[in-house]
Amino acid sequence: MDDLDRRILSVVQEHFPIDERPYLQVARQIGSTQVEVLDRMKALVERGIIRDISPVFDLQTLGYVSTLAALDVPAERIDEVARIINARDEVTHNYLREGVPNLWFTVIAESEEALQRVLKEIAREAGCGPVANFPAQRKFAARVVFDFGERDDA
Amino acid sequence: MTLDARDWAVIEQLQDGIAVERRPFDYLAQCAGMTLEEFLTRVLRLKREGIIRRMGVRLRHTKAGMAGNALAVWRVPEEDVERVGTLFAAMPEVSHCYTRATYEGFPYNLYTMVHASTQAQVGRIIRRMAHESGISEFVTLKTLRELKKSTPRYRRPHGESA
Repeated sequence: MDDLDRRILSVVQEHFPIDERPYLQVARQIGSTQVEVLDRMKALVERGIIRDISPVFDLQTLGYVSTLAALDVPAERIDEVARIINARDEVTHNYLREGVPNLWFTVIAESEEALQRVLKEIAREAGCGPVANFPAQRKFAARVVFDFGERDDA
Repeated sequence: MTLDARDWAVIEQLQDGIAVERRPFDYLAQCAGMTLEEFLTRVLRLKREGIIRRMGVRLRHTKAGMAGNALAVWRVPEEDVERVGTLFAAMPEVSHCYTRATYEGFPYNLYTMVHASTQAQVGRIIRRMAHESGISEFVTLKTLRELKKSTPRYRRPHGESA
């Protein structure tokens, strides 16, 4: 990524213009042209740096509940259990981490009962003991961390 | 704010993604069965009311030069939660900072997601967090593999049709 890519991302990451011609607005903000911004955006998508261009919604306002859950899985069963967990549409993220427990996944559902049901079903299918449930209580921060403008902290 | 069927039509179209083309909202408005003007007005209102928390692109951290990340979990006494949560949340390398319920054998109540360009840098940031907060009981759960990362898909409640 070069400086122009970073300048484009610094705008579209948090403030994608809600406008008839959003990429023209981006170009104006960073002193570039619409054609250039479109070309760069296409390349960033093709290279896999941009995963998705869509808003982040407040899930509670949309009537959903969520949690962070964890399961401790023996090393030789990780791939198998990950397949069981990932197959659920309600699971949005799943990471293997160091430490105990080692498999950490986020679940969204339309009600608390539905959420509990998903956790129970995963526990039963995985057969590695109960799923630990860590619902969020208080949120101090939830945001993006890429400050492309000035950071280069190698 | 209550969402009507036309708001849900907008939400559904936005979840399909915004194309990289000159006028990407024209097609989404057409699919939602409304004029571009109405579509953009509704998007602006969803943003203003906080239903859209962030209007933007999602990046793949590892490909965007942020290869290091870890979940650091902290055991913070109840009376210190406000101070420590505020301190961590103000750090630019911390994306998420939540208190969470504890679990048998896992007494940590403050969760922070830390990102940096390298794993070594993440370690330095977490040590600095420990130093500045005075919280010595914590565990760093380094990310070993991303097994799934998908964009959540929200559907309108039952009984609300377009």
